[in-house]
Amino acid sequence: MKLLRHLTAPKDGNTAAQYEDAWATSADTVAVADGASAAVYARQWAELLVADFTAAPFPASDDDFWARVTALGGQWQKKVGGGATSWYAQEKLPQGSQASLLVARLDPATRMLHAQAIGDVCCFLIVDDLLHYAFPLTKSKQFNSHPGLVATDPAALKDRPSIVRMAVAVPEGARLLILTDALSAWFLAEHERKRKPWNALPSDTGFPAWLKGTRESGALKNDDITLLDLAL
Amino acid sequence: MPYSAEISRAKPTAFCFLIDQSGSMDDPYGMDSGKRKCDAVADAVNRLIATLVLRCAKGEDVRDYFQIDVIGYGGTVRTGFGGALAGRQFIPISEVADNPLRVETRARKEDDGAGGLIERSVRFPVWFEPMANGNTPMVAAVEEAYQKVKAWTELYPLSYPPSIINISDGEPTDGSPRPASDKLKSLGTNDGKALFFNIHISGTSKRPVEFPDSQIGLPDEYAQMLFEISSVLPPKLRDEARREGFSASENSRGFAFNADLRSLIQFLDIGTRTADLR
Repeated sequence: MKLLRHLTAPKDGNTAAQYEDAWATSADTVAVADGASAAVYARQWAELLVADFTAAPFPASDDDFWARVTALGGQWQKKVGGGATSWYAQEKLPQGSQASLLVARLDPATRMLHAQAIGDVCCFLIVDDLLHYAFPLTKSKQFNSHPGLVATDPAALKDRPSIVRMAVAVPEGARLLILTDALSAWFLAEHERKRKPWNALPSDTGFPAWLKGTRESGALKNDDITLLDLAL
Repeated sequence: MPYSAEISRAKPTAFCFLIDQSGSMDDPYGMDSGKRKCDAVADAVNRLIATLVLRCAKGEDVRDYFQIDVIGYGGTVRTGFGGALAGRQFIPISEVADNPLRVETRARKEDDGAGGLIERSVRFPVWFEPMANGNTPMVAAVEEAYQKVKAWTELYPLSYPPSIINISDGEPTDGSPRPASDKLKSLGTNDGKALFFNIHISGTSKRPVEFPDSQIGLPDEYAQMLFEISSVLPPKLRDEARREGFSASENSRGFAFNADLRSLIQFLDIGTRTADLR
């Protein structure tokens, strides 16, 4: 698994410091998290999630996953709690934070790609210039403002979201794209129009102009953007 | 599709509160005998503004998705916030957040997750004090809102339409507010007409009603009048209301009786919603 490039951008109107996605890679694992717009200190939570889930394997059992998230939530509380001095930060802090998460690991021995997702960060496996696999969402209409989210205090949730898991054999030369929700929705909509969006992604230098034009055309929702392009 | 404009710092939306501060607001509030109606109105406005702030708060950073203005009416029509915000119109929410008159600590009962209630201390910012004085120039207040909202829509023609929230016991002394309300609702942006919502704070102790689709069951002519002048919920808000468990129909209106419509603010789409907590 080799990271070829990454592109990131905040929501239009926000500063770079207000970008709330996070990503991390290790030798054979990659993780991307998307902090919920309505959540407090969401970037810090997204950063903790991707650091932890690239440092150690994703748990095989759901219960073990949620136990690990609960411990991480304690770290988040320690990290941000002292910084909350205004009435609104103090009032919102007990609600915790939330983020979508996708973790993917390529087993170099078996060449199986294992991925787990909570929410709407998506990965797309491209083989021989065809979309071989889309995960966890497969249609542009599936995106909405209520994705599954990993909360800092999972026990506080009314309904715990599902952890979606997949494993797929990967041939040599495959390409893996990991995109946060707005770009994933664009990608799937383009593919539904019989296009090959993986070939239409902009160069690094052309990215700002492409982003502006695609947002202004209405084809891309104004949201934080993260794109990781990996060779498998 | 109307009412689908993205709400962002580049394209904020606006809220204009109309606050009944007339003499009749000194009467007892039906839902709590220890309170006057003006106390209930002040609580409702302060809670609504706090909810708007919390929707935009990302920690110490409050993002300016909303702009807020206020019009008080009791004896006469007064516009604007007090304190450090005095004299300004449609103030960015971050400045409203940082400039309450004071922040109180209040006790709030919450579900303990095991079938009981626990009491929790909460920070309660106060921008408005209870006031009850003079007659009820609601029509003049709605006409003032028309002028303010018209100017705002000219500045932000591509934004999500402004919401005007009137909080009153519904007893105007300067005539019927229907013509002025119709005029107000004729304003709008490219994304749809302005939304006029009404909250009826009543002296009767009938149970709260939110988003009714007819006047049937509303306790008096004042509640019925406020229902009539309220906007029908746009489809997106109606769908969110249903998702949150309200039995909203296509005729449901942005009207609440003895309730504060805080849920309405949660329905606005400013990005990924957080999952519901217990």
